[in-house]
Amino acid sequence: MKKLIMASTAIIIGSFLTLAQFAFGHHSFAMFDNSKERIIEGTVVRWAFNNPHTWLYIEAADENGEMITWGFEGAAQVHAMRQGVNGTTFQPGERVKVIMQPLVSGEPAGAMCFVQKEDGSIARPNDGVCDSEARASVWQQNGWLNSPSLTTYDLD
Amino acid sequence: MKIKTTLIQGFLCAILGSSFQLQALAQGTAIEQAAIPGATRENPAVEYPPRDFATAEEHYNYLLEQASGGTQHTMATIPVWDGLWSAGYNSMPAIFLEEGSMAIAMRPGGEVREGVLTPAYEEHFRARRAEINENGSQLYDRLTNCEYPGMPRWLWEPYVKEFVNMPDQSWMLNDFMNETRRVYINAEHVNIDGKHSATGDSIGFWDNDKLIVWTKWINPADYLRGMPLTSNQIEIVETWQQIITVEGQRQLVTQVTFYDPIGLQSPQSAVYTHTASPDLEEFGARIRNWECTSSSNSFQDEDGRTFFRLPGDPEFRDPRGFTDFPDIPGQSLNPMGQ
Repeated sequence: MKKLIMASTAIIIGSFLTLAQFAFGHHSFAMFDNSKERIIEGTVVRWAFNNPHTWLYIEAADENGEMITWGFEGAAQVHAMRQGVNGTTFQPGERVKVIMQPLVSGEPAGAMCFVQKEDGSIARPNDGVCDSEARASVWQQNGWLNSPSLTTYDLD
Repeated sequence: MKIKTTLIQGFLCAILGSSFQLQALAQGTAIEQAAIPGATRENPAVEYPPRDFATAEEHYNYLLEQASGGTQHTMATIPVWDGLWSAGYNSMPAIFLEEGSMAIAMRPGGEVREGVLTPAYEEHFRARRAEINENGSQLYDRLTNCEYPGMPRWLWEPYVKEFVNMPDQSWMLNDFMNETRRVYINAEHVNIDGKHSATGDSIGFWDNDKLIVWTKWINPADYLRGMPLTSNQIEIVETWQQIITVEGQRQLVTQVTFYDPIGLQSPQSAVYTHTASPDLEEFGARIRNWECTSSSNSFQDEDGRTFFRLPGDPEFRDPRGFTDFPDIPGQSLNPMGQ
């Protein structure tokens, strides 16, 4: 298990600011393990640009190599739009890498932080669970986006 | 945790402070608008009632009398609060927590103020705060199951709002749960339903550019996730006014007094704000119907925690594919091709 290094105080502060701004959705966020980030690579099957939360569903392998549907929760539409994401950002069939905070229960789902699209661009449909701009920068700088799917990093 | 909280508070203050610098300018209405008395350069100050009132009715009638029965607007003179709006600063958490702010309202930290809530409500609030302190968050929010925020929670929910003022009614629309408040101008309270509702029954009058609203018959709910419960006897007096910040930004400032003889030991006041959000209009945002009941897969599990139904669960709702009639053409929620 690799340890993540917080890039700078600014990133830490930015994370808290984003939390303060957006983690106010219609439900508790206690089900997510905010001490970890995990990369899942797969193929988009559904992009639900819905309120009260957007959801991205992808087909990806689990720990046993079996292809299953993973689900990732994102921000409400208004917050996603402010981060440059709309209802056409993801299309079925496209390959994506999702960086997310997993469910505490271990089931195949989590809270999206950011998504790398096939062309290398970054989409940020996240809710307040992370500062996606800062976290994407950390992942890019450290080359972690080339990690195999299912790799998990600790945030402490 | 204390360090985190301090950071959050500091940066919220920095952000919010830059947005709430006030000056006296008029815009969007033919009536001259004034600065909020007592406002600081950081946030609008709470305007307490001019004297103690035992009830919301007494408070409302006093303001009505002071306004000589109210201003009779026409469509040509009524204040226009057009465009899309987002909730901003509010002081409500400071009523219930020592040094309370939105930065800690839903997060660990903050000491419960003694003597604000009645014993049963304070006991419940202390238990709620203990749960947050232990788990980092309240484990379950009633909105998870698509319940309406209702009043007074409506005043803050951070999504998209619109305001439509007419001489005989004002409409306050929140995209969250499609929840619309209707304020009946120069009217009396009416309840032929024989029950309460999430947003209650609102009447109001205009005092030049200020809209004064009295709301009653509200369902028991809460001020916010992480904040205390409200009782089914709460009544609320609000004064709404549009102001312009020194940056030229349109703000709606709402001075609110809560009268809850069951939940509160005495009436309490707070200030809420909304900020005009032309950025959302530039994105092409429009208020769409909130689809919580047909698309949300969150629920309260057996342990009282929030959880999700996932693909493969028989009760999972495909948020863009659900239909009761899969064999009939054109029944999908997915006409865009996904």
